[in-house]
Amino acid sequence: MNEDRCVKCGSCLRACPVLNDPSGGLFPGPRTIGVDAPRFLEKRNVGQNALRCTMCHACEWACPSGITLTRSMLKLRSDASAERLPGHRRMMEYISDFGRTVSTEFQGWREEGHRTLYFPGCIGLGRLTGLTSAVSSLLTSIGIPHDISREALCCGSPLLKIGEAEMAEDLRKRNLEVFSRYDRVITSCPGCTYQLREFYGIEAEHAIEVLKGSELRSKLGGRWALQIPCHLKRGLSPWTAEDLAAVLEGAGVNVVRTSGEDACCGGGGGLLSGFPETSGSLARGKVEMYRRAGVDGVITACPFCSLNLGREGIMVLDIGEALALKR
Amino acid sequence: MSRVLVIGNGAAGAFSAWLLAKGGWEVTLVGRGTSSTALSTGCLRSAPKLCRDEILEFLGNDDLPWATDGREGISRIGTSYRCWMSPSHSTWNDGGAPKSVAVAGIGEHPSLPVRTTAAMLNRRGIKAIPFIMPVQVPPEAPLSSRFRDEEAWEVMAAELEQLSAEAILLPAMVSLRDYCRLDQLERRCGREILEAVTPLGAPGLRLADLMLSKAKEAGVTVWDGRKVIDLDVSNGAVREAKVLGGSEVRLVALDALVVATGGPLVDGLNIDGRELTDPFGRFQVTGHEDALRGGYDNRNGRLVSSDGQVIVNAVGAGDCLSSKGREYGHGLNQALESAYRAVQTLEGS
Repeated sequence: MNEDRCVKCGSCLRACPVLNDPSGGLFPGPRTIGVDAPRFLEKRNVGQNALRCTMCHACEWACPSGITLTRSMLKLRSDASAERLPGHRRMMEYISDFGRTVSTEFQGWREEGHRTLYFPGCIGLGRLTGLTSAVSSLLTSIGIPHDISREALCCGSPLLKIGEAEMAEDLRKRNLEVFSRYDRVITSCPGCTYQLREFYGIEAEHAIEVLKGSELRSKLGGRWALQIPCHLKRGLSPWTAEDLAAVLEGAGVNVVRTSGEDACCGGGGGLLSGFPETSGSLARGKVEMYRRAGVDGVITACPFCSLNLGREGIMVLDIGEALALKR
Repeated sequence: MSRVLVIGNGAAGAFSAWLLAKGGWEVTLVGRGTSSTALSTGCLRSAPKLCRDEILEFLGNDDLPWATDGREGISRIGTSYRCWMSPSHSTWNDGGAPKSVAVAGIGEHPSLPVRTTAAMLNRRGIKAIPFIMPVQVPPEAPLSSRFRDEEAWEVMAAELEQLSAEAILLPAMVSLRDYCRLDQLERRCGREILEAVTPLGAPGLRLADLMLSKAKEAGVTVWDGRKVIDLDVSNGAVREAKVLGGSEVRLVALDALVVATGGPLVDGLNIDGRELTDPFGRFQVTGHEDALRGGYDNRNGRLVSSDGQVIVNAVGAGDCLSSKGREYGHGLNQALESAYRAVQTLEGS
């Protein structure tokens, strides 16, 4: 690809949240995986440690030569035939058996033939069903009737992140059949949105892009920081970061902007299932930062951020849970 | 309020944005990727001739105390580094070199090759002993990753206390927020703590962070990760910019423009064969035979359109301007002074 542009400045290393975490020592780093491994055979044998990356795109943003490091790293994962980590194996088994990465707990299916599909993603249907119900109610209240289809399966992003390109392709085909019945697909998970746009070629919209411009209110008091999801800001569009703040401020939330708000929480790239201890360590680092900022909680727009930060004992809300229609 | 767009997130962009915001402009700064400023040593090699007070105010920061006038320090390979302004722990006053230095590296980390550095210092008549702290950090990981809590710093202090030298040279590793740790370490060990002067590392990143945070404090809106892809120039003035972020383009109406995109890096000038060209396709560029001198043509700072017309409300700042030649090591000074001139030109118009 464009790895030959590397000037060995090390900006990617300084930007990498995993390398900068005390628990990240075994990760060979974005330069080794994204720049050297694709070019030099002897550097290619990095094994499972190549998966110790959250796919947060921070290295790619920092690169002064514009190298698409994330793509290089993702390609290496597809080329590697490493033995699966226990967490990743479990995830693959769930997908083979049930079509989603975790067991599905959601009960509020809506298959009423609307033109819009709300696609909550596996975490929203399995672990954070409250988030999904909140986003669904909000969409209805702003005049977007929608289906939530039990036929829509995992978007395949987690499979691609661990190098299972074939299984991901199978899911893509099955999902495209479902999507063909709708004019519009709305998601609440930036990882799904990114996957649908980049690998399905459909113009899926994240909830923040839909909510922008609506008259909203919030009952939240106190001071709230933002956790800006990697795949939202650096994956979909950097504008979404300002939109997130603007939508919340417009709804009357006291938003406290912090300098590390767009740093990775550690929940992405298959890290949460593959290397939970590193995921947890990154989340603890972020929670410490939020505590220093003296906020009452954090608002985000990604189920993985909600899940991973929430485990470290800070109040985390999704925008869907933080907002309601202004009446 | 007049709206100005600054393109570039390095020293020239951040300083001009800060000056303009203080001058009452509504400033938006667009830039992406790591700037050359962030790859520098984070020191000013020579005294600014033009806007010394403004530069001192711009760089002033509670977390990072600076030292000025005739300073000398040690690079990561033990050579002498002279400058006018540096963070206080990087250098000493001319003539105030320590008699003895313990060169303290972290494990086998390549950030400070202790034996080479100590040998270089001994040759210069500074008694130096190499010392390796028994902390292993992988070669690609930033050192700061292992020094994030009180306990790690405590362990380091206990190790350093054993050393008998007058000063201790450490690899450059602390971020802006953690700079105060070096003061604490100095008090704790009772010895002067020196940080090796190092490019491509923490000092440059600290400086770039500081500059952008000062610009934000002054009211500048910073759009990171975005790129200006087109400029609407009509009747000799820039009216509008198209800014791309992800796959979405937003239009920005503007009353003035500062181009501070640096040299031919990814979003700076394009290189076409050996010639330099303007990525916006709007301005005249001197594609000098010596690429280090090429850049945007200007008339007293104002950019010139492709057909030779002076653009009244567009100025260039820093390394993207054509120049008579760049003096080695003085890029930061030149960028800051050039930004100051660019702002004076705009404010005079």
